[in-house]
Amino acid sequence: MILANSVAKDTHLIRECAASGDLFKATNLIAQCGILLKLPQTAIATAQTILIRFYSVSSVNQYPISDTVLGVLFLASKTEECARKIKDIVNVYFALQIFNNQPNAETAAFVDVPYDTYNEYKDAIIQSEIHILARLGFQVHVQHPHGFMVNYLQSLGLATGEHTEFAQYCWNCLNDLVRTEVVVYFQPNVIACAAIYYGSRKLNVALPTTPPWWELFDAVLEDMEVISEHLEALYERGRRK
Amino acid sequence: MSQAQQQTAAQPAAGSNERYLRLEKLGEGTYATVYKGKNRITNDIVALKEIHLDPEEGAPSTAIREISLMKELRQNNIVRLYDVIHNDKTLTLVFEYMDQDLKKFMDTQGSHGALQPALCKTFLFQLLKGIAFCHENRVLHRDLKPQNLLINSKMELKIADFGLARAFGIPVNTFSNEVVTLWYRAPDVLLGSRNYSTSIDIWSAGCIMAEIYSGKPLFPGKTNEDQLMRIFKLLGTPTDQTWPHVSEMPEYKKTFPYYPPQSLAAKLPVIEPVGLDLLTRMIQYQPQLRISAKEAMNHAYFVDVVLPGGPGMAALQQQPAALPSQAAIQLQQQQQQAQLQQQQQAQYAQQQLYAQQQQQQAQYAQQQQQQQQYGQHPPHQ
Repeated sequence: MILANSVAKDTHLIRECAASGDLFKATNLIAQCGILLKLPQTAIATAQTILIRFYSVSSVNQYPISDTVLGVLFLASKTEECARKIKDIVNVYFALQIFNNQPNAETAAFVDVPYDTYNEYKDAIIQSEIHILARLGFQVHVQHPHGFMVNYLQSLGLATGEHTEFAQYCWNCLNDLVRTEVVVYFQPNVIACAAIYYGSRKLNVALPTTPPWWELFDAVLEDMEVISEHLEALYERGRRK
Repeated sequence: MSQAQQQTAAQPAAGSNERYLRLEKLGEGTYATVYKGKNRITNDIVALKEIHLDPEEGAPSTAIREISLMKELRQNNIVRLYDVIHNDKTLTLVFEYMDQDLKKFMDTQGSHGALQPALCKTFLFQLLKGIAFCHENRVLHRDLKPQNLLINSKMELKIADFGLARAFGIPVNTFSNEVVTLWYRAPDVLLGSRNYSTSIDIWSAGCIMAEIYSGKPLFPGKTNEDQLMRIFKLLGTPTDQTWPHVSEMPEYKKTFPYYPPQSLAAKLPVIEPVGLDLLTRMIQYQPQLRISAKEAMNHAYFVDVVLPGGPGMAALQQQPAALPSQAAIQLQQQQQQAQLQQQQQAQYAQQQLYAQQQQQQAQYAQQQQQQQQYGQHPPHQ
């Protein structure tokens, strides 16, 4: 398949970004903004994936996270056909900055963005967008693992009835996984398999082993193990906070 | 700076760079201007599509989609995107150069816009090949029309302008229904469907087929409503019997006037019967009944297709746009009908899945054959 997701070759940049917690912060901020902008879940996931791709080829020191978050939100809303105005993105981002710094501020949503600040943000968005496009060579098309997983769960007979809880658990894992650097290391079908693999171990759900179920979906055990470790690390980070 | 220096400096125009020399303007699109260009090192002729970056909107979403998809799509019937050059104010897309678009080709080479049947066949085959490649790679073009199909002197046809294209995954999402130029827009999209798929491009291809044979657009509607009426007048107003659940579609109105289906053979006498069969399969009301690009390429109609560089193409390029003699047409038709019957028998087993719909189709085909034989209007219900 030609439009398979691009896979990073140079991995130290993204590893540093993930280790410092910057990546976690950035994807979190994208999710917060995305919800306030009423973006569809696909667009939020696309924005997160584009950001992770961007920091696989660019340094956080050169391109500040705040600008890139704004840029990917703008860009992903365009590619997913739910374009948002720069003004709305700036307003939401500005209000969130205030809210995140002082969570008790009830009036955060009603703060007007000062004119100069608005213009600064606007220029940052336009600049960031073109940087992202150029650094990624316009490879901003994202294939998400969610559709694959639904298909796989259905063919394993684990999508409905008594298995709803399991399916939901895997779905949640997947949503967490697309916020980690695994999206630049692995293809979406493998990530989908890993979410099912992780879920089956956590919830003790038996899956066919002869032949192993994942072979049907072109995944290998090693890859799923690696992805599971990433997920475990993410949850560990969450618990520490 | 001296006068002479200024002039030489002006030559590599804004937007191009030292790699490409900008030559004459070829045309203006919705969000871009296209120039002929020359690679300074290799002297290769290219097309430079300059996209203006809006200081308020950033990069146009059409440009983003076009580049991200076309960089990946490499096939002989799709225009190649060689390079993307960007600076602060413009994005320049460097494309393979093609002589003209199909619309212009029809206007200049056709007789009243109509192309000779053998040429129609080769263009349609190449179009379907390009579409099949897009669909295999999960890309919908969504804006197929003669202006977006480019032709070169070798009679090669290539699909261009992926500004409205998008990739589709599984399951198919809710898409925008503001796609495809009105004349080539599928009835399901006109009726408000948002979960269309590959079948939307096949409808457009069917409209293009009729247009290259006849020189006239098949459904030249002026508004959404007018577009639907033109389709209904030819294919009959759809009902829940002929198109299950059509009345539940967002834009369906109970007040649609009833039109009986007309004979395609009477509307497009220039198309041979086997070609009409393919066209019928491409412009089915129900999206899931429309033939796929890949199936269409294997249709009996293409048994005698002449391809660029293949035998017979040289003659085709030189021939004036005249219709072949009546005797030749008849002979060809007899041969093709025999092939068509064979193919229909083979397809019958496959189509039993759609038992009901198949019955309707068979009736329709029968009606058509009768019409061809007796030249009558379809029986009125």
